[in-house]
Amino acid sequence: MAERTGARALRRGGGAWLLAALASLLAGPCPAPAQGTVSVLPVQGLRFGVLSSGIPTVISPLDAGRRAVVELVGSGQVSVTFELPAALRAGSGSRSLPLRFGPADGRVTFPHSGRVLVFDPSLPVSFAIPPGSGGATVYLGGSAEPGPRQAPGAYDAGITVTVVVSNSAT
Amino acid sequence: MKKLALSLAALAVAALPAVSHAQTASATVTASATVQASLTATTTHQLKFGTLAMGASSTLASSGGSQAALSGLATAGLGQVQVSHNSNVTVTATVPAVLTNAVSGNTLGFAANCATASSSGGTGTSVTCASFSFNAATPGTSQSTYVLVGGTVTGSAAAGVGTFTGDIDFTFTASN
Repeated sequence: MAERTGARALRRGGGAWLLAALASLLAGPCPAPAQGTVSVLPVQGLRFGVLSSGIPTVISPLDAGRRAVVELVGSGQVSVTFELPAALRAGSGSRSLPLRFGPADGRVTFPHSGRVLVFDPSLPVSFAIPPGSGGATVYLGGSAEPGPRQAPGAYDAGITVTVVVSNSAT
Repeated sequence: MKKLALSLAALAVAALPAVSHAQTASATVTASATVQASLTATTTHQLKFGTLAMGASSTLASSGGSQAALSGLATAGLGQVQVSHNSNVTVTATVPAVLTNAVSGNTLGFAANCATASSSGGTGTSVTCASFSFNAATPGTSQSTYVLVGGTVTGSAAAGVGTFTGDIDFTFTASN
């Protein structure tokens, strides 16, 4: 029994098992459980249409014709963040038309379950998209507030939607 | 010894950090709006050559040193269109080549001259009637520009007597 102590013990029985275990742990990244993947598909922009100077216009996230729509296809635990512009720009960017987004201007629907999630688009929103659930649809409303001396013309700005899909394994 | 091996393995596992996996995707949608222009046009004065001798010609200048005054109820003078706008404006006009006597059907030759002014009946800046433009000093701020209309009527004794008229049609379009 005394011979199975020290370095010799590692060459036999439990020692070999220990080395194999350490090697497998250190050899590479730990295999994760099924990794969630989500594709982000822009479907429709936020369309304020024709505005008159001095008259604000509000688009509800329920307004099918004018709200912004983004489809999330896939599954996983996601965190959605909007980069919301403070204003639309015209021409070379010297003219601006202020925008405002309220705490209920964000909305997520889950087609299979019918669940609806209302959120503040100025803050990240997190939710799970179960596998096989058909993804999720994110809607965005907002307000455009042209000033009384708003210069006529076409204004626009980009709204970037970033989705982080996170899974954790040890 | 078996206990030692298991302890080492447990230690090794505990020493490894949790491995997290994250996927990031993004897309951009466009927010858009069009602010409509405010644009109105009102004829404030008609172009009137007044009473001419048979066969006599007459010219009313809308700009320059001999710029005529605006017409009155019973006096000859320039025509004028007041345009209220908050954006740049392009203009086209259809000018008749003749003035016509509606009773006899006889005609007199006609040509128009146009100008823009910043005040009613003010100093005109000559433009080509068929196509011209003027700008908003401050886009978004409503302002008035005045289109002055003069012309030349070419007399013809053969045309006889009577009232000769014609329409000049202006089309104003807001632009940016």
